Amino acid sequence: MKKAKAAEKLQKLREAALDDLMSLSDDELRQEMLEDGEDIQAVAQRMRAAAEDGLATARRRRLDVARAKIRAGASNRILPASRPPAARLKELVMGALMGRPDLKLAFREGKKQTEEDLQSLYDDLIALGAIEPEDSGN
Amino acid sequence: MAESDLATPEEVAEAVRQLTELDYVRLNAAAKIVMGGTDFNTPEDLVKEVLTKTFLSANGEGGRRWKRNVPFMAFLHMTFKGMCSDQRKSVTKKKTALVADLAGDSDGEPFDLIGQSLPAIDDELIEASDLEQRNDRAGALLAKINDFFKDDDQVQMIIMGAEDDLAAAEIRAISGMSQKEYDTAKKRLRRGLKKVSPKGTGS
Repeated sequence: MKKAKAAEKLQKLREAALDDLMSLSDDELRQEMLEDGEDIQAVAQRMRAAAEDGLATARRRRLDVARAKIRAGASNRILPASRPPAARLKELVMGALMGRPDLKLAFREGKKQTEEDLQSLYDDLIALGAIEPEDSGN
Repeated sequence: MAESDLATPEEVAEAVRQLTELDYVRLNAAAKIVMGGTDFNTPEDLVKEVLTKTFLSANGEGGRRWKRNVPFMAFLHMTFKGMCSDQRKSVTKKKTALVADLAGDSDGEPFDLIGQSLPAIDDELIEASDLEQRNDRAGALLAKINDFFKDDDQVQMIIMGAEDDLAAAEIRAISGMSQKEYDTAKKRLRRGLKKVSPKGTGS
């Protein structure tokens, strides 16, 4: 019990310290950092990088969730019996993504797409209703 | 809470883009204060985790959501505090339950637990011991803090007041400190904590 109280007391001191920190003006904070010999820019850069990393992680998770939903939805739909030729398929996929930043978000992987990737994208876009199916043209 | 009051993920991202150099410095200092006794090793770890969760919460995935009418920095400070506190409590609950079980407070015999899954129990015994060690570290750090401020009566009053859950006005009334003296003493407390535990108020 005595030892658990030590942790609680420390918590109260943390809260008091945090309250004080939040009450500092920017000038006061800057002054303290200088007095303590801390490099403001270096600290800010590290924290900014971590913040951006946090957002990037969140965006990747959001993409994964969106992609999983799209795939789940796509698997319930009837896929076209045939697909157009590769060049036309690429044209259709790129055209569909052009005006739809939300779809770009879901599909962009920053890598060059293989033909299989494009076919898969094409199938998914049809399943989403983003493009109308075309046959092989033969 | 109306949905329209809540920030979207893009608004969260924009708020992050608008953080200034000093905002990040402040977040660094706040993280060092609150992350003691948690699994966060650096302020960067904490800020990354908080922003990941804030963005995903704004996307409707549960957790603390940022209301637009709350200044973003205030929200981040509250979330830092809340996330670290939750983590400490969840560690404590798990270990307390385990310790109670092992002491035979549950219906089953404690040695039955040992028979079930040795590696898991070994890990949990180590973690229970870790809880004890954390509390020992908290005690040791408090002793260092008290020693650091042994000649500073005003900070000692604030420490005692914080321990006894006294409001600032009560501490000032008992100690006779003016508001200005109280604020200055609190600042000395914070800066002293930084010197006593430069990497953070760990426990």
